[in-house]
Amino acid sequence: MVKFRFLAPLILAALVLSGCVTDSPEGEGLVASAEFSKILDLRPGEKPATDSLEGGLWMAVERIEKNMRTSGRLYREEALREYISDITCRLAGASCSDIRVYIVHVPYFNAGMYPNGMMVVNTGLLLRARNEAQLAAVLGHEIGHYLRRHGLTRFRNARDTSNFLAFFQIIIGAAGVPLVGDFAGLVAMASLSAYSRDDEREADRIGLELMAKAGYDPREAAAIWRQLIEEQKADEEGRQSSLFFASHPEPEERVDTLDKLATEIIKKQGAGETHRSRYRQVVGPHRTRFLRDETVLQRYKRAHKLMEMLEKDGHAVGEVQFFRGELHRQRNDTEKKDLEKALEFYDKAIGSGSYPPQLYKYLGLVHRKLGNKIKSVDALKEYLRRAPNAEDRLMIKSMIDRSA
Amino acid sequence: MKSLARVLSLSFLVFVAACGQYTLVKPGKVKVGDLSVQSSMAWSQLSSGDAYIWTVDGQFLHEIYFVTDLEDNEPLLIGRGEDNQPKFKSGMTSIEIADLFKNSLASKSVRDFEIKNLRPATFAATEGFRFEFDYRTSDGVDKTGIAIGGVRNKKLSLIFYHGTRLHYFDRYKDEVEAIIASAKFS
Repeated sequence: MVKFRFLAPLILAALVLSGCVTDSPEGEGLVASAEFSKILDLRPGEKPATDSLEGGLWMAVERIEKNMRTSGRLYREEALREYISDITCRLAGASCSDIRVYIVHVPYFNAGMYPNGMMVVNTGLLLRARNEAQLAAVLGHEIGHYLRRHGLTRFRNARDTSNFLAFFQIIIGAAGVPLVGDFAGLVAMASLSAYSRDDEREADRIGLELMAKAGYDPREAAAIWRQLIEEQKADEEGRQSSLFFASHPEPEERVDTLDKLATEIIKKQGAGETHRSRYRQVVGPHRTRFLRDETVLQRYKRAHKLMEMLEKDGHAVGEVQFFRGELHRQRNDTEKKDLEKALEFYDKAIGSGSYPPQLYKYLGLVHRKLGNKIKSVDALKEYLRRAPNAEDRLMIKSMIDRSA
Repeated sequence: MKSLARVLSLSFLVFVAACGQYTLVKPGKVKVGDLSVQSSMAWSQLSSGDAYIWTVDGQFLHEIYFVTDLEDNEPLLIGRGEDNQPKFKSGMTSIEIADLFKNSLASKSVRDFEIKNLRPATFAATEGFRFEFDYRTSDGVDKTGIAIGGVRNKKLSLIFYHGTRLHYFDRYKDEVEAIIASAKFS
């Protein structure tokens, strides 16, 4: 059944979402000298007065957070959530207990923070970060927005602009008109309502300082952006995720600025750690699921680029190769070239190890489509041997019997 | 604002496409796309393109969803974001169609989606497949369902029925099984 929600709360949510790691171009005049103590606009434990604009905003956001707790999009893996909460705490220091982390099962790269301390992390970000420092760079940026109350500024600006009023009137006029609710859509819409360049610049700087203070390598902030730019360039469709580049045309300049700033920090404090193995240990067990989510999006070129980079990164390579094969199998062009490529990647995966047992099922299906009956049956039998209780075993057995 | 307007207008179109007007389906022989089925009770029907949705107590509680004559490269379900939805390919095996089903429904706000007991079955006198499925909605409601379908002339036809595990799924299950058993290509 198609699920409906009301439009107004979605728009409110989009406006109050305090952070999306989506923007910030160049920042001339960026300095790394700001003291941590000077940027703590929102003090640990501080809550706005209920009769203030900010208090009203928090109340609205608390309703959004209440819905979040039961959302079908919530990725309910407590160990992973705790891991991200721990990183958040290392970054946020005394404000640690004011921030609550929610992982949402959304395959696009994004994270966001609401003014009341609700931090939302997409699974698509967890797939793309190569180490803990890269994740910390994104979280640190979000915490920067939060501590500096950028969400309140954005809400106030939006409220005061004629655009918003016209926009709000449309919403009121359409009261009762439901909108298909979707968290990815919400985040995408929020990213359209961008922060000012100054706020983004400030969040970048604070993020880097928090990273360095917590002992992470600040160079990883530019690195994750560089990876994302490379992936984005491969995107033939230019859909969905490109929303966050649409309003921010110069991500390369942002990378340069982050690089320069990281160099300055390293001169003073040393390089710090990436904590790559710790990240792989905790996020690794979830990666099969995240990779599967990515293949379902049907962004073939972009997904190939991402997976090519992940393959080079060297973690559980067989798993990545299996999913590169899956991308080809699912696209299946008319000339069967995709099926041949799928076989190549499945073979590579078998050579590398660490692939899921379903590989043999899909290997069998591809051989079947290519007319290789014996190879198809062998692969399907191997699948049943490895997954004897699979929910599709009767269908597989029937395919084997018919081939015989 | 331009992009925002685009997002909003798309969302509105999706709403219109998915929500049209209910019409009454009377008991008896009913044509549903290229299928004909026999129903012993009345249903409320929504339709859009190749998709037909029947319910009595409301879609959230239970619905029968008919996909008929789905052609190559078309999304399985009507509704939002069809560009981003997984598409049917005419060369798909039953296993791949079950994957398509899972990915299409899982792209909605549901969690813990599981397909159970995928097996060969006769659908409208053609060779096809059948499976059961379970999931939980974004509001924490447990739902269960059955799906049966087949590919004829490179086009997919599929009937699935799902409802709340508590009460509504069971309430109409026997009637739905009778409808499925009566399905014929017209």
